[in-house]
Amino acid sequence: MVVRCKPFQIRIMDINFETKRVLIVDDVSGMRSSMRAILSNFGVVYTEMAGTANDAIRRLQTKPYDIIICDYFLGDGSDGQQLLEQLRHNKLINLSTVFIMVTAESVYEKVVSAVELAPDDYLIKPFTAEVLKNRLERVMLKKLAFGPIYRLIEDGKLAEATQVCTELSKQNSKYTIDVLRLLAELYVTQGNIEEAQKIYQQVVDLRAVPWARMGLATMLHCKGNHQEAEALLAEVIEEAPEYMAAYDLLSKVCEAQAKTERAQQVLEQAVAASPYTMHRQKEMGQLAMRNGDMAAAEKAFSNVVARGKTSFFRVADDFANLSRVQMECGKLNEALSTLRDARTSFNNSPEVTFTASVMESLVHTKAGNDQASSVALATAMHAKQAGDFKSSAELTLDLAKACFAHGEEEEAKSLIENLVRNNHDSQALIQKAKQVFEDAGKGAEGSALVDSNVKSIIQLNNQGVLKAQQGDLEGSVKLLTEAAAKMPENLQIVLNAAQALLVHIDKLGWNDSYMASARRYLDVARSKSATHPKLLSISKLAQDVAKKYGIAA
Amino acid sequence: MKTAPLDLNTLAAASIHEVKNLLGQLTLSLDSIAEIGCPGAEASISGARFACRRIVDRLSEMLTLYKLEGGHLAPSIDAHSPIDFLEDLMLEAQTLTAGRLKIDLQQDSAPPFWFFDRELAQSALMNALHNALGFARTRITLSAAQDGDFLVFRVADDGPGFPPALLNDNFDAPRASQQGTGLGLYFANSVAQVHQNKGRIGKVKLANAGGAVFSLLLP
Repeated sequence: MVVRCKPFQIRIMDINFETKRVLIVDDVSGMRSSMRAILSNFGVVYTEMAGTANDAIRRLQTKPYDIIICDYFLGDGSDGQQLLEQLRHNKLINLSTVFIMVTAESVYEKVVSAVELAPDDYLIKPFTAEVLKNRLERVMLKKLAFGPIYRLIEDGKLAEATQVCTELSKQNSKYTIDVLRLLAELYVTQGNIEEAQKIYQQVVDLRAVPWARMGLATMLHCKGNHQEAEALLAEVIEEAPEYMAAYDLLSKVCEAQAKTERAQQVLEQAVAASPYTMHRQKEMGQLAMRNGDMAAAEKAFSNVVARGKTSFFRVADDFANLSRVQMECGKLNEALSTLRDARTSFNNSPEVTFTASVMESLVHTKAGNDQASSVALATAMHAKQAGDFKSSAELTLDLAKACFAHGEEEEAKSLIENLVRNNHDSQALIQKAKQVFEDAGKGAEGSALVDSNVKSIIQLNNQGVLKAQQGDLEGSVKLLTEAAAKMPENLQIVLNAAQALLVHIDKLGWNDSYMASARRYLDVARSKSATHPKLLSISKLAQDVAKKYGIAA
Repeated sequence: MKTAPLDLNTLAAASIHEVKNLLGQLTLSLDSIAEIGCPGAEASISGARFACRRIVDRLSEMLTLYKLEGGHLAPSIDAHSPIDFLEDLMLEAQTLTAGRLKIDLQQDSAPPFWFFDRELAQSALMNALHNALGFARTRITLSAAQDGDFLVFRVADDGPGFPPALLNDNFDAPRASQQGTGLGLYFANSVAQVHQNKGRIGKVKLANAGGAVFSLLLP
C-alpha cells in the first residue's frame, strides 16, 4: 500500500469565517456578548451562546459546531477542561472541531500541559481581537493540514492513518510534535504499546514535557512495569504537583502492586485538589469500597450523585453505587431514599426501574421486610425482560443475591454462570461470584460451578484453536463464532473467533461476510480493551489478509 | 478547603489579579470602540489602549515575580512554533504602535518548533517591546533564530541604545537607572533562567548595534 504524503501546504486564504458555526461558552453574560462582538469583527456571522456546560452539551447534541470558544472557569465548580473531556468521550465533537479555551487564570497553563485531551489552543485574558483571530486561523490551518488523517481515523482506517503520520513525523515542520503525539495515540488505540512507548520516549528525549512523560508512564503500566511507572510518576508529581492525571495513574499503578492504602491516599490527594471531577470521584468510591473503607466510599459516591443531578452524563449506576455502600453501612433508609431519587432523576426509565428495584430488594431483605423485597425483585425481573440495556457486573451479582434470598436458585445460578462465562479471565469477578454463593450458604457448590464454567470456556477456546491447527477451519469458525454469539463480552473468545475467521480467509479464499464479522469482533475488542495482549497480532493478521487479496485495510 | 492565614503578599497578589482582569475587560471595550471608529478620537483611543496594555503587562509581571520569589514558578514547557509566536508578538506590537513605527519580522533562520513556555517568553519580550516602543525612532525588528543549542528571540530598535552600565549587568537584582526601575530586565532574566534543558540555562543579553538589541536565549 502506497500512501502519498503531501507536506502540509495550506494557506490562510482558505479560511472563511462566514461559513463557520461558533459556540461561545461562558458563565458571564457580558463576556459572552463581548466575545460575540469580537468574532463578528472578523466575519463570524453564526454564533450561539451557552452559559453553562449543560447548556453547551444540549446545543451540541442537536447540531454540530465548527468552533467552540469556552471559558475555563464556568462557575458552579465545573470547568472547560471537564466539558472538553465529556464532549470528546461522548463523541459530541469530532477531531476537526476547533476547541479554544479562554482563561483569566494562568494556572490553566499547568492543567493543559499534562492532560490527555488538550484543547486546540488556549488564550490567557486579556487578549485583543487581532490575537484571537490570528490564533483561530492558525488552529484552522492545522485542522486543514491534519484533515486527511482525521478522515482516515474517523473512517476507522487506523493502519493507513498510522502510516501517513509515520511519514509526516519524518518531516521537520512546526507540526512535528503534534504528529508524534497523534501517532502515539493511534498506536495506543490499536493496542500497539511497544510502538507507542517508542514515540513517547522519542518526545521525552527531545524534552521531558509532561504529557509525553504521562504517556510513557501509561505504557509502562500497560506492560506491567509498575515500578518504573511509579518512579516516573513520582518525578512528574514532584516537579509539578498540579498534574491531576499523574495522581490518577499513580493510584492505579500502586493498586496493581497491591499497595492499596497508598493507592487510596494518592487518589484522595487528587480528589481534594479537584473535588468536582466526577470520574475521579467514582474511581475514589470504587477504590475505597475495594479497600473496605465504607466512609470514604460513601462520601465519594454521594458527591457523584449530588453533582450528577444536574449533569447530562449521570448514570443510574451512580445511584446504585451510593445505595450499595449505604446499605453496607446499615443506613437502610438513606439507601432507599437514594433509590427514590434515582427513579425521579431518570423519570422511571426501564433501566432505572431495574437498577433501583434490584437494590431495593436487597435493602428490604436486610431490613427484614421480605414481602417488599419480593415485590421489588419481581419488578426488577420484569424490567430486565422489557428493557434494552446492559446491567453492570456488580448489579448482576446483586440481582443474583436477591434471587437467592427468595429461593430463585436456578435464576441466580444462571445469572452468575453467564457473567462468569463472559468474564472467565477476571480474577476479581470470579472471587466476587464465589462470594455470592458463599453468602447464600452454597459455597462449595458455587465454587465448583464457577470453576467448571471457567474450565469449560478455556476448553472451548482450546478446542477451537486445535480444530484450526488440525486443518478443520470450518469447524473452528463454527465453534468459536457460536461461542462469541453466546458470550459477546468475553474478549478472549471474541478475539479467537476473529482469528478463526481470518485464518479461514487466508487459507481458503476471500469471504466478504467472514471479513465483516472479523472486523466487527476486532472493533468490540478495541472498544472494550485497546490494550488486550492479543488484539495487536489479530489486527495485524486482518491487515495482512486484506492486503493479500488486494483489499484496503 | 484548607484555610491558611493570609499574608499581605498573597492579598496583594489576589488584588493584582482582580485588577488585571478588570483591565482586561476595559481593553475589550476599547477594542470595540476602536472598531466602530470615533472620528477625531483615534489618537486618544489608541493612547488609552496602549496605557491599558502596559498596565496589564506590568501587573502580569508582578504576579509572575511574586510566584518566582515564592518558588512557585515552574515553567509550562511545550512545543511551539517560534514563527507563530513572533507573529503573535508582532500583532501586539502593531496594536501598540498604532502605525507610528514600522515593525519588521526576521525569521528565516528560526527552527520549525522549539520547547518553551509561551506565556512567560511572551511577557519577557513584551517588556522589551515596551522599552523599544519608547526609544525607537522609526522601526523595531523582531527576530527568531537558532544559535547552537539556543533559540534566540531579539527585539531591536533604532533608538539611542542601552546605557553602557546596563550592558554588563547580570540582572541578579532590579537596578534602577535613569531609564527606569530595572524591574523589567530583572523579570526577563528570571523568565530566561527558569528555562533549562540538559544543563543549559536561559539568559538575557543586551547589546547596542544601531540601537538597542535585547536578546532572550532559550535552551
